[in-house]
Amino acid sequence: MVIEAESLNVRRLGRHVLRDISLRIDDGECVSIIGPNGAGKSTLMSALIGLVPADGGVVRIDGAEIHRLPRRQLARLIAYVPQIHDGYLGFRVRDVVEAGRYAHLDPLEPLKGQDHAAVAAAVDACRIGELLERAVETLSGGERQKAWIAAALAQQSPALFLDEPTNALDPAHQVELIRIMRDHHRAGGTLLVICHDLNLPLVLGGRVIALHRGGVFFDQPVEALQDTGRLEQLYGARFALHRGADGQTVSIHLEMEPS
Amino acid sequence: MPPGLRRLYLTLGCVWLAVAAASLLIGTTGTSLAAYWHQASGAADPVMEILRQLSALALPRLLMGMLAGGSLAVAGAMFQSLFRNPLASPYTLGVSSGASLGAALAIMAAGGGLWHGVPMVSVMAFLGAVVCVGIVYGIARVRPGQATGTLLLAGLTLGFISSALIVLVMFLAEIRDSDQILRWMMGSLEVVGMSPVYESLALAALAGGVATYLHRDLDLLMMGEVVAASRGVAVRHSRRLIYFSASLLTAGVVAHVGPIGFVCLLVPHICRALVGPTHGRLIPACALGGAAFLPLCDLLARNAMWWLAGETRQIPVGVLTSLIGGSFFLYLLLARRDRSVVR
Repeated sequence: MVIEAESLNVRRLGRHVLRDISLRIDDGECVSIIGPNGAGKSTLMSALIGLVPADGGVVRIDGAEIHRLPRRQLARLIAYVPQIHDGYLGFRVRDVVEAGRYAHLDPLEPLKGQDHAAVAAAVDACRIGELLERAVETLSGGERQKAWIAAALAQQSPALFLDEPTNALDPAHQVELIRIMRDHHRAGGTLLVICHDLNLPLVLGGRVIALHRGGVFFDQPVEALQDTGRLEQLYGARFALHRGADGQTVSIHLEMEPS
Repeated sequence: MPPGLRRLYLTLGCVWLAVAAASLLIGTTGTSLAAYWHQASGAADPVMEILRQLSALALPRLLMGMLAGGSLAVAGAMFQSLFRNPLASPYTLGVSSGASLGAALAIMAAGGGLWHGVPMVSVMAFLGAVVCVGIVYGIARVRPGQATGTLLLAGLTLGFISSALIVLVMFLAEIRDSDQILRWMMGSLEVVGMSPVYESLALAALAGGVATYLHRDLDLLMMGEVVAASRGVAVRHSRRLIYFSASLLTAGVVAHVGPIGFVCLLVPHICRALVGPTHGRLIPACALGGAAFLPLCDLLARNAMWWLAGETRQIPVGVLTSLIGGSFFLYLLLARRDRSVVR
């Protein structure tokens, strides 16, 4: 599956959020979107799954214009985990994950064998077996995030879109989420991830799209992140590169004045 | 179905049957099956005579109570999911005030009787509710984006405007008419004949069908609009269907029995605590629970004065649902509770 944007423009509440964005995500690619707050990252992701209408330009999936595709069909192509979840009044984790099968079921059809298998696989991948009967409200932030990702995985769509999945999670949960994302990518899935932690793209590999004021600042393999000068232009903050003891692994750190 | 859930549905079903039986046996202010028997024993065919008497008044009233209770509870559950707010109800959106305004106008203009054989109060109440729902939806369309928030605000505002107009109508009407308007607004299950029952049954089947057909859409809409859309729900389409079918359902019920309060808040709230929020379970539970709750309230309301004071006057059922419902709701809010019975 190929996802393409062609001179995509989006205006929201009078603001020109995305300006003339053209990009292409190939089947099985791993792409990270970075950029400062308000650069348009979340809007771009929403536009790429047709949740935000374009005010110019077009998004295509395998050549078909996205706003002509029914939502049910789109859901079978792309699964999405938004940054903020609202309104889960009393639902158990099981309800949330099973609801991920919506696009595969007729309205009056109960869950079938393949649906139960998909739910079980998603629960397994996220290791949330013990949480199934808990109400979503009672979970910690990390557990909740895993539950929503499991719901998206149960959709069994070839592409997985995640909006800042590791934000506000403790280190152990971050490691687990990275494992889940890697597993999806290794199984041949397309991965699109918005992140603020610049080390996440380095770990995931693939390509980085940097957004700045609604436009593409650069769109290159992750190695481009090692150019700290460009990161400084992008964020207006200074970064330093650290090499691991093996001389191979690289990590990026924010440089701050010592107090 | 897990065994706990099956037992729960069975219990609800038994409660429902018990209420139905009690409602027929106890009857109204002194009339009872024993009294019927006494009256009928002189007739040629006592059993037929009893059935004839039951089907004249008690049966339509019981059936109307069941249909109205079940419909109001289901409509309440649908609106609460649509707005992701356990306090939303068809009444929050001005359905009841629109219906009341329609009924008030009909009573003032025609005295509330038949007009060419048409029960004008019911027709006007239905029209008032439908017009109100249409205006609210129209306002929300003009201001897209925050559709649900605008719907709530528009509904509340229209409700206040209608209430003001009702007071104006009552002020202008003659004393006798304004008294009748007031009585109509208290709600009553006293229906004449079976045609209101059939009309409500048709609407209930329609809206119940929509709620069942869209039960997964309701789940996902409650989990959040963005999530729903990304899972494959055609959000705008589903929301419109749910909004209009629940509104029509309420309008149809209110047109016949008046704006009976609190059933649409209380029953879904209790059912959600019993079977959880997923609509595949919640909608049938609400239908059953509402169909038991309202006839029970009616049974108490029409006999309370007889039991307490030996008087034949009947308390309006709407007063009792709000009294019982309101106090129980407060208790639920205050009591620390474990929400999971069947989990």
